Amino acid sequence: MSIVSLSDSIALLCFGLGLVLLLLAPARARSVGASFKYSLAVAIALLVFVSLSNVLEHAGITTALDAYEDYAEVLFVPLAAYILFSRSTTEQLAAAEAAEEQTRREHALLMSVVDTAPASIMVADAEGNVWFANDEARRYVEQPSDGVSLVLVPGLRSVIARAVEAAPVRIARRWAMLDGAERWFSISATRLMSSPGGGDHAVVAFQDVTEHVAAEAELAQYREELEEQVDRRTSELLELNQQLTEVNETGQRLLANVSHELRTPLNSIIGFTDLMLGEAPGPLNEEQRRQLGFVNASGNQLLTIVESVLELSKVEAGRGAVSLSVAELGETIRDVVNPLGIIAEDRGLTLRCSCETALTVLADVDKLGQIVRNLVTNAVKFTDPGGVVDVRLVTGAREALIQVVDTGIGIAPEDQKRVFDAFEQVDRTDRARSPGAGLGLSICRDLCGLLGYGLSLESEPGVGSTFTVHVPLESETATTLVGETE
Amino acid sequence: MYQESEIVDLLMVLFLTPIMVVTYRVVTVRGKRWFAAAYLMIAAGYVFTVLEGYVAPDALNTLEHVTHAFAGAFCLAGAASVFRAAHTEVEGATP
Repeated sequence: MSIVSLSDSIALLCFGLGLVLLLLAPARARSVGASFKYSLAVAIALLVFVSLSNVLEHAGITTALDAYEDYAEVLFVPLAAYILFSRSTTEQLAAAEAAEEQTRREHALLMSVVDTAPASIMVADAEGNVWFANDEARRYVEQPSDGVSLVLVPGLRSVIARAVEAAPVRIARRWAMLDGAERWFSISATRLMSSPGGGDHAVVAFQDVTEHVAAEAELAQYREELEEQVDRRTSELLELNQQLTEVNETGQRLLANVSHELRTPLNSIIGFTDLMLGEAPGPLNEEQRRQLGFVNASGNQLLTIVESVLELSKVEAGRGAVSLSVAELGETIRDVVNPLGIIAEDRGLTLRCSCETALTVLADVDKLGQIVRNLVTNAVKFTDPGGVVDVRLVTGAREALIQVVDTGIGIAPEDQKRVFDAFEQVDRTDRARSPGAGLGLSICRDLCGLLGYGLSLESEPGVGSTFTVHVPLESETATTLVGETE
Repeated sequence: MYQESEIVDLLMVLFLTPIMVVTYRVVTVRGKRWFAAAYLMIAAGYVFTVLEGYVAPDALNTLEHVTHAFAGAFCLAGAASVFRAAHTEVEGATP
């Protein structure tokens, strides 16, 4: 078999099989389509015919088909071109239909959104012709008798003219409505790039904000009224505060004056009773001595109270000026505690002072001494005979602690705060034990505040109390002065 | 010598093929490369048919029939591709 015959046979076989496969392919498949399938089948059938003609001719069977072979070959090329162009057209048509369907769906979606929006949206030209208005916008445009065209209210027409000619517009305006009522609107307008029917158009969105504007105005008025009310109340409070300050100052002056005036006769009473008890004017019998002793003791007690009141009033009035000096802390404490040993001894108590630590500080010696004196006196007063009052000086890195520890009656937790208040005494049942005015701890608290010290209390009823004065050691002034002293 | 029908075939190939190449790019048909190759083989066969009237008649005649054989093979491959794609699509769409 020659190459030509072999080639013709292969061509016939392949074209024939191809034709069969194509005819068996389902035409309903979108990737094929009936038009494409059958026109391609015709083209392949032409080639089958040409191949068959060649085979028969070269096999020497017949040349009858050769006369028609030329027609088949002439038809093939235009048919192939037709198949290609028709397929291209079909695909473009399908794509256009799909795009149209997509556009229709998006338009429907957009219209739903625009019509559902609470804002009014419209497209209009500068002459006032409305090309589109959603449901909300139709409430604000005139609809003439033809029932089709829409006419803008005059105010909106000028806004659109501005948007068409210049930049986008965002403003708030008050318009007279078709029914004559005036309402506020918030408006945004932008020139439309692709206008319907050509010409200059703008898309406008606006919303009735009348209630919002009214609420804002009401809020502003309310704020103004509130500010006026606050100003008025502040003035009243300032005036009241001024009056209270004056009353307080008057009270303190009165207290100081009365105390001062009381001190002179009291000193006379105490001095003369001391003289009489010393039998300077003449001998006394036992009863006279006993009664004069009462007078003298009561006088001393009253003098102590008067002096406490005077001290408290000075501290509270801010007249307790601080006078700092370099002092040896242990020595200062010992100087205060040692004289009180007699009182403690009289009450059958042991008063110890463990203040041997050498520590130099910058302090107001008088006031610090008064604090320690008040605390020790208080401890002695509220400790039963046989008890112990211990005064300690403990030094740390940042502060020195002056502790007054007693084995007295103690203070209940709920009372521990108010023991520092003026004229407060927790145990009022035993007046003989606590003859004072309840000012000692209050004075301690105020003096500690004045000097920048801390004052704390730990106590357990029936066991005893520990008052601690926290003396800071990090004061810049103190350090400098101490350094200079050294 | 050549026949008139062979010249007409050649002219149509020369005129339509460039236009078909442009359209070919936008069409989406499974196995379109196989069909395009088959078409080009047929077109080449037309050229050889005309040329065999002037030079190397035997060789060019043989080449013409060989290009037909190749065109048949490419056409079969393209048809098989279309057949497979159509069946896959139809079976995939069946619930």
